[in-house]
Amino acid sequence: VKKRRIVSIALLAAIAAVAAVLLFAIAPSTATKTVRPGLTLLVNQRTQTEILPGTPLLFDVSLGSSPSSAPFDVGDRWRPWHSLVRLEQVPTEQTVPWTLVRVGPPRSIHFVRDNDGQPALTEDSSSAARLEAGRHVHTVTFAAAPNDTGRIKPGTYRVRGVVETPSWMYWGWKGRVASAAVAIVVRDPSSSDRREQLDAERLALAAKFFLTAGRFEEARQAAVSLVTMNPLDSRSHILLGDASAGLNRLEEALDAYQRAMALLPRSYEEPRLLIDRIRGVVHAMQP
Amino acid sequence: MKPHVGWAIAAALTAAVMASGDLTAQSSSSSPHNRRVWTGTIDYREIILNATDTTPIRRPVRYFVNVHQTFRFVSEEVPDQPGFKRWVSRQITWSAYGSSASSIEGYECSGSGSVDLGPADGYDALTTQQEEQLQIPCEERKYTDAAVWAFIPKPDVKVRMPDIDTSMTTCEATRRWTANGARYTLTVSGVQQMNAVVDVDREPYAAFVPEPGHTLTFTARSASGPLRFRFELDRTGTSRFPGYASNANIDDVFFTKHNLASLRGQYANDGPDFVFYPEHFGRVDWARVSLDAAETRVAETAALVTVTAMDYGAVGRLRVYAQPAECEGAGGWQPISFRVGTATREHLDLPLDEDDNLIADALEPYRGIDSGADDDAEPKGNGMAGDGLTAFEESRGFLTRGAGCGPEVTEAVYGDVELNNQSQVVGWSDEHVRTSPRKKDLFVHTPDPELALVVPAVDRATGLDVHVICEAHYAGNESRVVNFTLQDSGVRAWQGTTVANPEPQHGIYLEPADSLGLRGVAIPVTEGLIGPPKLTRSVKVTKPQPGSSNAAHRGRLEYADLIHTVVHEIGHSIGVPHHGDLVDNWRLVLGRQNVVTWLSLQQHAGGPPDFTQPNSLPEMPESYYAAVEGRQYLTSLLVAPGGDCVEGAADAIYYKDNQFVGCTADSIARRGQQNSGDFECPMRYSGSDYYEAPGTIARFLWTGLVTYRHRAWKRDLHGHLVDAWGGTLLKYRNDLDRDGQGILCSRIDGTGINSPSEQDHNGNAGRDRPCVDFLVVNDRAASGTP
Repeated sequence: VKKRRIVSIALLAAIAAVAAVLLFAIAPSTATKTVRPGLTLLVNQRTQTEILPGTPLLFDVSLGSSPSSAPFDVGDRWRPWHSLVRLEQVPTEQTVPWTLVRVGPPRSIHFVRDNDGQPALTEDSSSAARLEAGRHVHTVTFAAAPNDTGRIKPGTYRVRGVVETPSWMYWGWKGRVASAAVAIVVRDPSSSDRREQLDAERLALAAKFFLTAGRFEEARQAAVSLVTMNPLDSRSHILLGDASAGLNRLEEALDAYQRAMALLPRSYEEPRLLIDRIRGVVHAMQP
Repeated sequence: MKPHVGWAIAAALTAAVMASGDLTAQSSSSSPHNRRVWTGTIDYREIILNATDTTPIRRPVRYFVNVHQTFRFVSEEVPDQPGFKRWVSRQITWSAYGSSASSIEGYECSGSGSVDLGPADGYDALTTQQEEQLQIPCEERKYTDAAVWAFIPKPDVKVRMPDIDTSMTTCEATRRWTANGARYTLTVSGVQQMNAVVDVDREPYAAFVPEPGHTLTFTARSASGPLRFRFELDRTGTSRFPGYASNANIDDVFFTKHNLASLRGQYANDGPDFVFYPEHFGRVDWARVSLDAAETRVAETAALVTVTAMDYGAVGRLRVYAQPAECEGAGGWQPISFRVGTATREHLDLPLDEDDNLIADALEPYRGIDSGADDDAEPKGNGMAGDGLTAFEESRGFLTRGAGCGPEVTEAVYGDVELNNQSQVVGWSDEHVRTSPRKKDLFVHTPDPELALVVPAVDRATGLDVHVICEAHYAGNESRVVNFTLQDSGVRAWQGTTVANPEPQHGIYLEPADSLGLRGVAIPVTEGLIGPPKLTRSVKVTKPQPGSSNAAHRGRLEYADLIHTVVHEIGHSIGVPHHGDLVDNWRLVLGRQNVVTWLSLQQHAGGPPDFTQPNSLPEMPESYYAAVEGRQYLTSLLVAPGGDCVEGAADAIYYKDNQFVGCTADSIARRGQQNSGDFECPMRYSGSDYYEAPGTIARFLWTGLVTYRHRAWKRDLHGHLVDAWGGTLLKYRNDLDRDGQGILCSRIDGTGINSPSEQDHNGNAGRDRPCVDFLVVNDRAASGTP
């Protein structure tokens, strides 16, 4: 029995040694030069933005890869890829000076083709970010709420996204990838010559932020202020309609959408998304 | 006899034989009548900018002359006439090109050759026959059939005779001077001929493709004893194209990425495209190394030199000179030739370019194609060949997006790269592609990675090669010029060979949009114009709002819809209109258009809507809606009873004076308009509320206030302003319709829901040409259009 125990222990030790060798030798070797991750950061859908204090900031951090990249995974079920994402200031590498909350679930979009070459997009929310030949994009959205950004002092802030694996994470892709920095220019409301325009932008983004966060009453308040400020702007009415629909105030929503319809700037395209909204509300109003 | 003694004897014999060979070579170079060899070059290059012809219109004239000559004259003293020289051999080699042309006529002169003028008493003595031999033929060219008189200067293309100062002493340093616009060099040595040559290994030479950091190595050998060698990259024969690819200027990452770090700060954007990279030259062996010249320190029987490309379209000319031992430390440099296979050349063109199109022969797709050609044939589109990029620009290639467009840093990528304390490098993951000269290329920039993911879908739908680029790759979203390196610097030709088009080619700016109410829109540079990319300022696309729990906020838009939207809007940005519309001289000619609430007020007369008019009624004070600056707004369309609108249906909500008056709708699809034609075409609209029954036409009936009877709430909402439309309007089968997911239609016939054998909702496309016949990528097609 003792001999068998010794053999078992020896076997286990051998297996552990092999596993250790694999962890240290094979795992880093996946990080070859053919693996090319890339990170993109957008703030309010742009690479730079000019705001007044109190304008929410929505940061989309997207992880992708080059067209020539070999396949690899970032993160896993124990340490999801989006938990490796952070925002930091440039060049100080300090954390950003406002509270960030994650908005919505992280999303993974995959570009696929069937046997006939027909392209399609699929969407999921996997923990491991699969990256291969530029065919996958994994995005997580962070936001700074209006009350947080209301405390920002005027000035220019440069922020970049970073994905970095911890030193103990030996499996999968290991390394660090940083995005280009986005610039956030915060203007002093008392001295900005674009105050009116920036204030409208502040309200529109606030409405959008609250809609995204499911805080429809606050979204409605922002949208009403925006409509008062810009009664001929179709976007204001669309946001008001969205907020009202969220509050199940369907009649008001329909009214707002129909006003928006009349105010839409001329365009070669039909306002399909607005028509869809109207249909959705009309449908909801049906018995 | 012991073996090693045998080896020693053999070695001694071999050395003796070699020594005798050397002696033979040296003795053959001795000069019984003080023979001297005079070598040199003559370069004449003239470009006249802003020249015009003499017509009142004063058409621009492009004037360009480039003549390169080398010569090798041999003189000897005449023993009984001290101080008198006799010329025993006078060899001149030349290549010349000149062009002077307006858009209607001009001259083109070109020729090359080599001749030995033979013995003479004076070095510049020519017989009439010899003068004729040195003539460069010129042809007069007419580019129009119209009889137009215009004086255009004839290019000054001629072979010049060397100017030899016979007082020059043997081994004197090479003289260089300029006279009458021509640059002269002159060298004299006493050795009749050195037995030295550069043997070019044909295989790597033929396989060489220029790329920054890529090298070619050559060995110069002397069979006539040790010589010093000088390697020169001919300044007139080596290109200096701005940047290093068709859309990339020299930047910091260039040096890191291509292992050229020691040239950082020394190499300019318009530096020579082939260089001697200092890192390849040790200080011990080389006396002088600059970007365009390298000279060995001591006389050797062989010297190995490495030439480095700095541009994906680099063109160069390598010359090698040797200095005889008798001239060491002084001048007397004589050119030595290259041996490529069985051929001997006085200089070596880099890369191998036997079809003389400035493009490496190793790049098979461009072989035999004129460098200025822009005649990509596929897809045919509207018949305008080309994609706005010359074959040279396509072969020089483009940087395309790698992962993201900003600085990226990963341990994986930088594992074996010395970054000189750079923490981040912009553009590291850019990838270079040489585009096809036969297939049209389209370049799209978007800052949004999710939109970038979708862009490759455009290639299948259009047949184009579609490339995603960063903003820096088309010089900014305002400029959008994808071939800016040559365009912005005004370089259109090199050595008389066209390398760029007269006009730039534009890319497409694709950006995410927010709360437009539209799925997407192509925004024209000039309202109402549609055509090649230069006419579209940007393409805006609305993305789904995945974070929202609000279905209305999210709308019906899903990520899967993005492919259709992106393809559809980019389709507009390359000239393809909706199925009911036409394009006339890049102006959009609208069909009747679907009836929609948004446009209804301009559609009462039945014709196309007027986008310039506001969708408002001037005076309806009793309206349910509060006035906004005196305007009243339509609630929706009203579909009058008849057809599929019957009281009791879900959408039968409008009453007037307690009488049912019609159904609500926001759109009525009209035959031959946006929803018509090929079911799978991505330019087709899908979905509507009602459609015109085959053979019928929707007619405007009236505008007025109606009551919305809300059955669920059991109450009436008064004062809804509607446009009433009648005719035979049938309920649209949205359950059978979806976005077109195929390729641009090649027939106008209605298929699927539009097929006469199926639901026949919208019939054939309302124009005589399918979408593929509108596609246009080449910006030159709309030349002159703002």
